[in-house]
Amino acid sequence: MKVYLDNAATSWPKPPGVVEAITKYLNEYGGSPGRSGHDFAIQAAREVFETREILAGLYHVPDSENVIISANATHALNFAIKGLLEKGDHVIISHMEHNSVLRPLTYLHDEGLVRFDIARCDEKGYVDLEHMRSLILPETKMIICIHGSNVAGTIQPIAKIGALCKENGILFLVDAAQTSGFVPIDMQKENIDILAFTGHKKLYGPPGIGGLCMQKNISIKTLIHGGTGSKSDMAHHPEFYPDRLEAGTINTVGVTGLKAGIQYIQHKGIDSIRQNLSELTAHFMRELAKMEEVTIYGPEVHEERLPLISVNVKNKVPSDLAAKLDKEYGIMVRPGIHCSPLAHKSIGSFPQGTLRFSLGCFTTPEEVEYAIQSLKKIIDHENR
Amino acid sequence: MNYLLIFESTHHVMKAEKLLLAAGFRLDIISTPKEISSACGLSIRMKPENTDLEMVRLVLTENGLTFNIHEKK
Ligand SMILES: Cc1ncc(COP(=O)(O)O)c(C=O)c1O
Repeated sequence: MKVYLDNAATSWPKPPGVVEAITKYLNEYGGSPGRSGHDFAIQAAREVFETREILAGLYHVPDSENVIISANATHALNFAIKGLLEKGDHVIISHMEHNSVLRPLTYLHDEGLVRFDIARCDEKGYVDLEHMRSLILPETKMIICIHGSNVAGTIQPIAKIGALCKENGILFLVDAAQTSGFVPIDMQKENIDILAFTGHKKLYGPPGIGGLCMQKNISIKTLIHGGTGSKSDMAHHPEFYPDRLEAGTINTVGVTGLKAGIQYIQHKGIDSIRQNLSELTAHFMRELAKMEEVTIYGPEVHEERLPLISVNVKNKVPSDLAAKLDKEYGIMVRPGIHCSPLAHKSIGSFPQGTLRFSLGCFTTPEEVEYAIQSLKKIIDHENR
Repeated sequence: MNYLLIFESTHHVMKAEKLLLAAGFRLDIISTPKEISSACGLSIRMKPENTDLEMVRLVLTENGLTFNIHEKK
């Protein structure tokens, strides 16, 4: 039996429609969008346009031209961070951030360009809003916050952070890599200026696709210059979106798959997927909580969280447990630091990290049961 | 003679196509002829006999699109 419980890294399997859409593009009309005027190029351009429109609807972006396609959330976050911040700016982040935020900021800091402070989080991973407020300086240009924690499953109160930003005239950048497709996001209501998402997790697209959504008045300098299919006789790169941030041929294979992935979850209903997955996660947590040796991190079972559970087992190293689960039981999970050292420091699992089980919309109750029993067997066997 | 609608970006061409089709117009998309513009590689071609230009202008401007209209033989 093979059980895939690493959906927070990338979701698997993908809906059949995703594979079909990708195959159809490659087999039937694989042209380059926006580059030529022939039938295949136009069909591809329509597909890209419709995907932007769907994404704009999903996050409440005012205009679909402000939906930028990128390779993943990491590229999107780098575009926003390096393309907006200037020398002397100050930034505030949370203590749950992923390396895709921490590292670009650390780089800019080391170059002598920006300073940043880190708002405390409690042991469940929730950001301390009063501490965040107290860190605001006259030079604070941006607050960056992870929406859902890939380590602890914590979902941050982004509407409150958005309100804090608005009140203080600060830009709000949200890392929605883990929540896109799982938690509804409204950039208008939640005062989000810029949102980074990735397509291969809970939007069920293929790896290699993601993007950036922004409000009307955001001016991001591009890091990459090149061909766009527009203003082709000019040496200067165009200023208008989306071309400004999309030099080079975009990943149309990824776009067609992403579109089908979003259509799949919208058809199933994002709320109903969340409800099912939350129940399955809660069951999983309750069973794990019965095992004396197991410590569960993050929000309590009755609190809203992502469908992932990070644990540690007394006197066991997460990587050994993951190897046993994989080799002896066919259960695939992720051990270790999950690209977020800050988050592990917040919840008290640094430096050993955690063993993370993460569910997707195709995870079955039987698979969860099997994972529970398998972990139990490993623990019981080794205690004998 | 045809009308050619020239936009800034491919995105605007796609948006205009969707809006105009929804409003019942007939059109096709072609590579923008070099002698007319190099703004965007694609443009929208419409036949004068079934195109009310004033209506086209209205639909597009109402939706925030900027464009130029050329007459091409
Ligand atoms: C919270 C968070 N932010 C950012 C990322 C980066 O996403 P990607 O690897 O698709 O760029 C991930 C996942 O890897 C993540 O979990």
